[in-house]
Amino acid sequence: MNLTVNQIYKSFGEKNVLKGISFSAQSGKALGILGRNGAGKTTLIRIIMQVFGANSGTVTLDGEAIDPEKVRIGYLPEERGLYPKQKIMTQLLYFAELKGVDKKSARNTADKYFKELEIEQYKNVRLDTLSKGNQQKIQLIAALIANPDIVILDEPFSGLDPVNAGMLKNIVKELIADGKMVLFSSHQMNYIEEFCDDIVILNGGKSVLEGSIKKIKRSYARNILEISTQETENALNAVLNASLPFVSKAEVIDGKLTVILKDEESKPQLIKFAAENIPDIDGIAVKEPTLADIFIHYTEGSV
Amino acid sequence: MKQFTKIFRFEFLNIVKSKAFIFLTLILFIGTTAALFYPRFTGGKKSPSVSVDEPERVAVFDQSGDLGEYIKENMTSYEITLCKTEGEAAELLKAENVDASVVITSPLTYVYSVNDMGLYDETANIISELLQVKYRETRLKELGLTDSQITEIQSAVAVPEYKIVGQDQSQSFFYTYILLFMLYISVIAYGQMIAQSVATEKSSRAMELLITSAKPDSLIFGKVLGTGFAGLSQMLIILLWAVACYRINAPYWEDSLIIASIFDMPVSLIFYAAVFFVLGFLIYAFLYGALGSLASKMEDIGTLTTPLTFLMILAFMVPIFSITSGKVDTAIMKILSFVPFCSPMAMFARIAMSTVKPLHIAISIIILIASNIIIGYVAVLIYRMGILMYGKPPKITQILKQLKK
Repeated sequence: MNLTVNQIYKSFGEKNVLKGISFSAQSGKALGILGRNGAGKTTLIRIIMQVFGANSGTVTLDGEAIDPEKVRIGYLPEERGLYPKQKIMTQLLYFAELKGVDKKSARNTADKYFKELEIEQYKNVRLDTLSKGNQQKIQLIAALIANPDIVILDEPFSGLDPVNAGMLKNIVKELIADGKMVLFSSHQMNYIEEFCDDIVILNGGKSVLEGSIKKIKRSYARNILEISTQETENALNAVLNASLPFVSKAEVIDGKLTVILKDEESKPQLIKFAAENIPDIDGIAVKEPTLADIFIHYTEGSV
Repeated sequence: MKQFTKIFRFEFLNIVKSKAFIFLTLILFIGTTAALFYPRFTGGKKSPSVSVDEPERVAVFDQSGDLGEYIKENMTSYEITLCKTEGEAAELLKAENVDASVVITSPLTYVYSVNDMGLYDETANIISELLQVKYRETRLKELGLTDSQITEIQSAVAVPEYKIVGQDQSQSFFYTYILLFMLYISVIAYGQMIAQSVATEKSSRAMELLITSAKPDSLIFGKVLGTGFAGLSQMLIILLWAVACYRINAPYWEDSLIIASIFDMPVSLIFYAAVFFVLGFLIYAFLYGALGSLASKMEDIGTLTTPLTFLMILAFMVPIFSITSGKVDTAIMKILSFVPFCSPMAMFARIAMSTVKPLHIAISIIILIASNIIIGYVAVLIYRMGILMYGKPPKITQILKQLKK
């Protein structure tokens, strides 16, 4: 399935929240939705989930409007919320029923995840008796209980310890392997890089960048080289003293000698220089921008 | 519709399984049982007597002669002390050795003194009656009538035969009062419960999942009707149980006109009670639900629902004062019988205790149904807006502005 969001505009009163959002996502893949706080992610998610309509623009699945009777969307909201005073299984089944899933299959799905997340003993206790991490797991089960075709995860990893985060990661990977479409929103870039092939960056109510992470990274100039060595200071001096004509800047960043070239074509010349003049080289590689760099580049200055 | 039934069921079970509900039902159940079985176990006294604040010890001083003795003979249920002087009677009263004193100044005049006049003090009436009988007897004797003639004249009583074309208020008062009170309590209790329940869903952010799983219309209708149905079932069960208890103990209640009148409610009135109860409950419940959706925190609920609660109190107080004073067809009651938020109580009170034209009843019910539809619609609009709104609850003007859009 292919989800296409096309030129979505949405305003609340005088306030224009979304001013032209477009992107697409495929089944069996995860799409990272990035944006600073207040960029309109929640509004966008609500439009996709048909909580309210857009002022203009379309959301289509394989070219047709989403029919909630046929296509199920699972949602893990950033603002966690379930009934604190209700028994866990009772409310999970209730949410499943609201989505049109019969109790029996919902119970099976829930059982499967209870086991996988190692919280089987909490099935019939009240939600508010659980720790934050375990409540988070229940929230995830609530998102997945209707066996959704599209899963929207908004900051799923916040507040989880590494063990729990690991369990959750496995589930997300399973979802992707099962051919679900995963829309993933997070400020933790490492998770985005781990799961998502594609990203869309929202800024100021617009989608400012969309595409595969690899390609985006490739699109940046490849004129920065990182040289790993045990003796960075000596290496830096060697480069600076040689006053190479093709080097525009050299400095030590994060324990690595980082050399900015005037152009990409000079890479072989620098490698040759390094091999001859810098002793004990561990490695030399083009420095790609991190996702955080890209994110900051596209969102800095405005919201 | 499917979603609505699921929500309805969930909300209904939520209420019914809640400790508060079970506790309240149990209390009502025990209360009803105890009250209606009471005479069976108290044996001889079949009706609980109204406790009367009457003086029991009375000091009597008679200037003219033997009227003191006469009163003592005829007021056997009182402890009568005959005094020799007026001062003695006053002393006894002052020392609180007696509850009241009577100083007879002539065959038909006397001074009745009492420290505190009780609400139901009948003593003076009894004494007046006795003095009148004695006076007539004396005067008739002087006119030369025989004792038997005098007795016949004295015991002559006019007996009215009542033919009530409309409603007998002495019969209908108690059940009207009880039903109005039940509606009032239900609206206040369950209305608040609905508002709280919506606000809790918002503050716990369960709303985030709810709105992405179900339509707002289903959510509010499911909640209002589910909660309403729980309340209604509770009332119905208690009422049916009360009737059953009464039937079982009917022989013991024969003397008590009040209790008998309550359970002797005409069938047509039960129908009207049901109609006005349901419609009256819903119109308030919809608004309580909508107002609850405007609250972000539980603390906001009080401020938001107070105006509605005041409206309910007003709609309750006017009919209650009217039925208590016995005048249910006042101009204000007639007007309120057609005003949506007031008509369930006002019109019902009038139907129960007076005679209302069927056409007027029909108009009132139609207005109420139409208002329920409109209010239901408005409630959905407010709810749809409210559930996504966090922060300070909006002012009414802001809500109206939003609704226009």
